[in-house]
Amino acid sequence: MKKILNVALKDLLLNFRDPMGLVLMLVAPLALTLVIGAAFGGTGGGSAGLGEIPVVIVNLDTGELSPYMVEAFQSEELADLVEPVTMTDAMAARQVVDKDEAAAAVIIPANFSESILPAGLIQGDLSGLETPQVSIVEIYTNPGRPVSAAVIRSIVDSLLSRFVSGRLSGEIVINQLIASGRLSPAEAQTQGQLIGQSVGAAEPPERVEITSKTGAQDKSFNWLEYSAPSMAILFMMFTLSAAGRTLLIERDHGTLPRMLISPTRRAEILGGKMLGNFLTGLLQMTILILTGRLLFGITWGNPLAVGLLTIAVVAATTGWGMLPTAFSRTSGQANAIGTAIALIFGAVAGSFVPRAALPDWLQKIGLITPNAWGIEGYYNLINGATLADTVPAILALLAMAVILFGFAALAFRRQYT
Amino acid sequence: MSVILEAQQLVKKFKDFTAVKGVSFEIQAGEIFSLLGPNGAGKTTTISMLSTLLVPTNGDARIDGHSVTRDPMAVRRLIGVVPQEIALYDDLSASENLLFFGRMHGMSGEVLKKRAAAVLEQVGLTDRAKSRVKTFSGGMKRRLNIGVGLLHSPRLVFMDEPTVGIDPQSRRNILDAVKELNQQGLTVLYTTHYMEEAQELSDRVGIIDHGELIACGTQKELTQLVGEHETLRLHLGDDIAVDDLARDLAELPQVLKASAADHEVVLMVPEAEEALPGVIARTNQLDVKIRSIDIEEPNLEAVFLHLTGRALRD
Repeated sequence: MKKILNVALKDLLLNFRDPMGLVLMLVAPLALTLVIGAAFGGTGGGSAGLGEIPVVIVNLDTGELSPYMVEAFQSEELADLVEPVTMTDAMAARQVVDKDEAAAAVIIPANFSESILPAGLIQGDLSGLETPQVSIVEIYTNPGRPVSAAVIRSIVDSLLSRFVSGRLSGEIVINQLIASGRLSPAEAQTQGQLIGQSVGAAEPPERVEITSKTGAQDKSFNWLEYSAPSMAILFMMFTLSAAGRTLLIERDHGTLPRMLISPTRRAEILGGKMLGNFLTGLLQMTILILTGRLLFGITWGNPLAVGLLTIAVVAATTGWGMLPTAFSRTSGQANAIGTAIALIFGAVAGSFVPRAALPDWLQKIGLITPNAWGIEGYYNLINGATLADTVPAILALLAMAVILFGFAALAFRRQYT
Repeated sequence: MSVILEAQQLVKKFKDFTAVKGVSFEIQAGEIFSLLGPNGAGKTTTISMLSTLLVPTNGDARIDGHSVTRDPMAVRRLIGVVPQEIALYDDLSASENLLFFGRMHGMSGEVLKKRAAAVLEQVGLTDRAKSRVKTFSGGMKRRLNIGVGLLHSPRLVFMDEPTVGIDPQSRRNILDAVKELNQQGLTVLYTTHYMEEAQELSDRVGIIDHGELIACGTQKELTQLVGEHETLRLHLGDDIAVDDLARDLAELPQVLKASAADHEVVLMVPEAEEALPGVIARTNQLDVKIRSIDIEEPNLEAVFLHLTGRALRD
């Protein structure tokens, strides 16, 4: 056992002394997690761009101005930017946002028109402007789509400034005065300016306020929580494939023969190499999990379950990492096979897109990878799964590890006897 | 002296190629035995079988009574190996390399630390103990490579061409170190394709070519195989076709054998003074300019030439 540990600790030390290896092990997965999180806004049902932002408009106002607000969202001008849906129930609209089906809900209050154009103004009575009501437009935002929500907020800001500055409200009042015969078209310009100035004289906060509320976190999908474990496992696969390859590199550099002519059994050397790779993967995953917590605020869930799942994922990945080396003649061959396996596994196991988005048959193939079991296990734990929920994934990964270690051991025995 | 190594009809085949064809020899405890032969002669394969790295296809060897095929672990405890290539971890320090390989030989604790420090002193690397090997010169790496082979105080050490690719100063140091170790009681099996090294170091020499041990004995015994013949070594210019010249000079009545090497033609002659005029006359006829001529007493190179018809550096 001492010799196994001696080989393992030497490999662990060498793996963590390689600056390029450290970039691949730690920097790359964190950077990619960050990029994916930023690009997809942490949470989001797959809508990454700013085109056609889904927004729910709830108009509780029956006055003259609010229809213009709704129409503005439905205008040709904003057609490429927003995808508005109107609803009548504010609570239902908030639920749509909570379900991540919309970036925001804009809720126009019942006294919206009255707060800008007090009753009597249309009859030409400007006295209502002196003691205005205050209306509150609520923008209920999706925390998973911060950029999209900010766009909706700026649209609402812009529309309200047009109302409150008096230009739009003045036009509406004048049109209605002319239509009712109380104002002749000749007087329209002078009277319109007067109303506009009177309405615009009051500061916006005095009559219309905007309140921004953040919706509940959507637990159905979160890109950051998904990409952190998926990138960690993907890059651990690269690391352990490279670590497995060191057996061939040591053979070529003469250090493996030097070990083989010491009074050490070959099984001890192979065991030491496997343990060294396992410890390397374990340390890499531990650092990435802790960094995910510190940098991205990811709550990984039940610590015991996370620990056991990590051991199982690393064991299975160590097995896959050894396999290309066991069946390759040169380190170049092992490198090519190992890289291909890591990338293919990443693709079929959902490291790049969620596995649920893949066809059924591909999802089933993905189950031969430690990535699929690991990503699902971690993601479920992050979202509240228990140790009992995680046991099937742990067992599947450990079984995978046992089978792969067996294959690798047989192949090595054949190669080095 | 007792026999510490006895190789019996060692054979190693790699598919259709037979690298070693029934090699047998003995090494007495306390001697330096050299396996002398050109590249590809089977020296490294022989050492690999003796050090249990390769299993012989046929034959066996016993080291201090232990069979390399039946009791390899016991053999490994007795031997040290200095491989031809630098078998060290570049990203570990000199000290870390020694401690790692020491533990692989079952050493530990203070004993290992003291022994590693002693070896570092012995190979002149005490002041670089904590430096990573990748910062070392080629000569320093060679010295540490030897140090690792000696760390566990083996009774018999196999040194496989330890001076390949190093500067003359480092080579001198290594040869002196081998002699010193031998004086301290270490038995050495040394492989080389440098005749000078075998001559300087060895108590006995085995000459190996194409996987066969073609002669074995003390230097005196081997040179007697050549008789009283002398060697003429013609140093030639870069533009001379040495193979053609060797074939031509072999036709001269005073020349027994001729072979070509790097910018050299080596002639075995019964009497150098008598052969020289004829050789010079013929080279003048062929318009070949000779840079210099060495006249050598019978030596291992002459033995090799005598036995194989080729120069060692062919």
